[in-house]
Amino acid sequence: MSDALFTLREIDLRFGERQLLRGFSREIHHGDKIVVEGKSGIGKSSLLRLMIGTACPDSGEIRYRGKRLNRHTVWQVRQEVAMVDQEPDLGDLTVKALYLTVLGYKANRHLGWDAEQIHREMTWLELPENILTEPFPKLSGGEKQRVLILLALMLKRDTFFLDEITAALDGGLKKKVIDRFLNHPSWTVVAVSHDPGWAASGRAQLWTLEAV
Amino acid sequence: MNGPLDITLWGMAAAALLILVPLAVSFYLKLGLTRTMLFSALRMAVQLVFMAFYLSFLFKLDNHWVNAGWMAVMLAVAAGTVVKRSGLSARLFALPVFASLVFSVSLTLLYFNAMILHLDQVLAARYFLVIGGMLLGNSLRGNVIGLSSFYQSIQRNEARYLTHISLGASLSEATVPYLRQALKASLNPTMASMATMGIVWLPGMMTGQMLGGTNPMAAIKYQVAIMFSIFMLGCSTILLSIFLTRRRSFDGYGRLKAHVLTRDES
Repeated sequence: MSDALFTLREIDLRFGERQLLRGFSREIHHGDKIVVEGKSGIGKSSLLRLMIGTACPDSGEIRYRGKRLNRHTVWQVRQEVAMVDQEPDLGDLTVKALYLTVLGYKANRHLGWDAEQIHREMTWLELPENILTEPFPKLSGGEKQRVLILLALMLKRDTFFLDEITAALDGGLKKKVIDRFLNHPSWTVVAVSHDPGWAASGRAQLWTLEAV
Repeated sequence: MNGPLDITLWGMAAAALLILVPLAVSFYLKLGLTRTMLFSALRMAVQLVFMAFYLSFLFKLDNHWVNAGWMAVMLAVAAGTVVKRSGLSARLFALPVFASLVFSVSLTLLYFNAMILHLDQVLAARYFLVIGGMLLGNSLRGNVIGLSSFYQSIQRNEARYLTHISLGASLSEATVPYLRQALKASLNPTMASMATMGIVWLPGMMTGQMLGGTNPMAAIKYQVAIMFSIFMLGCSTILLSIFLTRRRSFDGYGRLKAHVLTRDES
């Protein structure tokens, strides 16, 4: 048995008529920094969804910490991985209400409202203080991404699945975010991105998805 | 107590003339509803004639077992109607919705007959079947609205729902917002009708009792009691229906099963 965090073995995945993955096998180890590249619609986001269990492979096996991903272990993954979605739809809640909802889940309740951390990260992400009272759908694309990066940090997990989180950020901020995730020695990071900044950092393994 | 004035055959014929107006409108404005209108009107008349026959039979017989059996048939038909009109899979939903109706309607009805009316015979046909039918009929719409709202908004907002699941929400935590929404949608019509009752409209039950010779004060007491019962029943059936169907409608990964909804309204 390997000590991989995630093991993907011979994964096949179809989306409607299209074959996205065929015989896909990889491992993710603790502390790995992985950048997933490839054309739009090639299955990059699906790869993250497979590992967090909101999509299921047509065949093949996914393991998490050596245990097969199934209807019991999948809930553990969701409590240990912080996922930041692309184009998230999160309803009409204000940012603060959204944070409180997520922190109110039994799996996250022990964290509490860490005002000091939130303030610090908001400054770092260049978010204005009053953003907490804004309804989430009213925010700009870049603000939404930063609000969700902050949420992922608030969960204090050490595995991150990041789906195009820098697409709407400007240059300086983009670099700060990339550096933060790729420089942290103990974090395991899987970042899906079109953004050359992630790969150019030279600190990540590159997974390039090709059409099958 | 004086019965209300009976309607003669000529009187009923005059009533039937009234539906010529919507029929003519449908014909000239090409609503394409002529057949449906005729069919619905005819269906109502036939069903009610049958109901008059079997109700007079059941009143005369007044056997508690027969009454309870008849109630069970009404509940089964109601459950079927709710599942079909909500656009949900009959295989997954028929039984739990039936169970939820049996439980809530029986409790409400027994409470109504025993605690509100203080009947000695809580299963007496005149009250059990008539009040029961009224409670059941009035809870149908709320159930349809509630169940379809719950499952359809989860399907429509699948991305949002799954985002919360990925952030660590359990199945019940992730579905609570949709439960709230479903309850609000299903209780709203009853609240609206309670708020306007007596100003904008006279409810059928009260009108019927007053035509039958009951004094208005007694009639409104029935009306108020029945509205409270309908309100409670609506709340409890929808909650119970969702609780009883939630487990089987999601797979082990917390995703809504593909065949839960038989029609897609998103």
